[in-house]
Amino acid sequence: MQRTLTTAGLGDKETLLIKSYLSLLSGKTREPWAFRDSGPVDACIAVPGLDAGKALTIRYGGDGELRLNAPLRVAAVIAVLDQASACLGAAKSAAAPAAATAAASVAAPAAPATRGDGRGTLAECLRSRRDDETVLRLSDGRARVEADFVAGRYRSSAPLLAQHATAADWHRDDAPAPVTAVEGALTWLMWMAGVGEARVQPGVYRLRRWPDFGALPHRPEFVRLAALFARQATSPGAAAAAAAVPVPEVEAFLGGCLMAGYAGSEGALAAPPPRPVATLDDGVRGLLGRIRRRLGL
Amino acid sequence: MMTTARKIVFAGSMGAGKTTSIAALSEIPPVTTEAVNHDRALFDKDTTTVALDYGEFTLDDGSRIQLIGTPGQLRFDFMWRVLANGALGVILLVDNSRPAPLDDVREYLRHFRDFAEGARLVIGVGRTESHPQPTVDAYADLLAGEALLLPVLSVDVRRRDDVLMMVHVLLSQLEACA
Repeated sequence: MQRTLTTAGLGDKETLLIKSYLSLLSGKTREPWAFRDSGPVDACIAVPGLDAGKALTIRYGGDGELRLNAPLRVAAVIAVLDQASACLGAAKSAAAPAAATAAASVAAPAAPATRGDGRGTLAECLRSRRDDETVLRLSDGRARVEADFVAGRYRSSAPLLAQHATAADWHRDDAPAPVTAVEGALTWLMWMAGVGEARVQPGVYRLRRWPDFGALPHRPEFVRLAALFARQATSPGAAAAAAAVPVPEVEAFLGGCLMAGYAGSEGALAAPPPRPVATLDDGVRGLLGRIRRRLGL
Repeated sequence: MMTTARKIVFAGSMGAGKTTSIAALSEIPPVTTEAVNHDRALFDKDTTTVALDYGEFTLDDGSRIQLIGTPGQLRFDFMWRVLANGALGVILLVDNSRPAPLDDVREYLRHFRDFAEGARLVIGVGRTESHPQPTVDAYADLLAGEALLLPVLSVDVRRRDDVLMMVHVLLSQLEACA
């Protein structure tokens, strides 16, 4: 699905740069984007104080759910357009309501649920769902979320919900999400909430199924971690050592997996550490490394 | 100088995107063995691969990685294992718009069982935007039923990054299991 974009209040040079980037970005963004000088558009890059109308607002040089700052760098433009795609419905994940079945069977909590007053992070509130609750309506005072665990869909008033996920003031709120809510597959919401929280209790974890890295935002290290956790039950520390990535990166990956039901706890006992990459047969290790270098992976 | 060659196999039904995937990675124009498609009832395209697709790229030590695409039609299934013999791994491409894509996967898993059990196989599901059913989860359920834990990714092989992602996943599996 092609998305359309315009600018409001930007200088001619910035607008020309945005147009140039869009013409170069074919195939590099999750969805194709085209620039429109006029008419209805999906998103608008606007300076602070200017209203983008019905379009999703990407703030230029200010605060906001989605924002770009000077100097405009192509990587930042790609990232914000992909975020905008997710906000606008994440065509891939939004097209498959049943893709959220994994989220509907969320794994056992890996971290405490909400505090005594019922407040906590978005992930904690989602995890606090009782079995008889098919719909959760949550708010942090600014954003509202309605998670439908039967339909496998969520609606949110916040275009970029993940930025709110770590706020600790989420709580149940029976007010329905607004009509203009962003919609998406529940798996995406659970994944993003879990990755954003990145808190995992000590223990040993194992992948139960692979995350769909074709649809879920991820960092390259997540793929290597998925392979490790698919191979055997592993602790975050052991996985970090084996994959040579920081522990918080492992916890972010596990946080997303646990929330979306892709991984589960295998208990608190220490499992044998996975064979570190350094013990790979030299020939195989060298070959795989050369392939990665050749393909830029 | 003698050079060695290893290969990555792209398997999947007719029209799943094997030739496109190889073209995305190959440093030479892919060699294809196309013939007139007489199975238009199954897939409406003019030609189809009857023997194999071939592409390659060269590594910094001079060795080559061969990219082999298997013929998509079931009647050529005797070639699948021959072509996959000695491969680093298999990237199985699935066309979600086909009548029974889950059955397609079952059939390919039967032929590539050793690759699947050795975690040297990645499944890329295409056309999920226009054909959202079966879902990626349905494929994962199928695999779980066969006691397999393999990556299933929704992809669009027209995007090179998606093809690279499948290779990245395959290499990560190999690194974890080697």
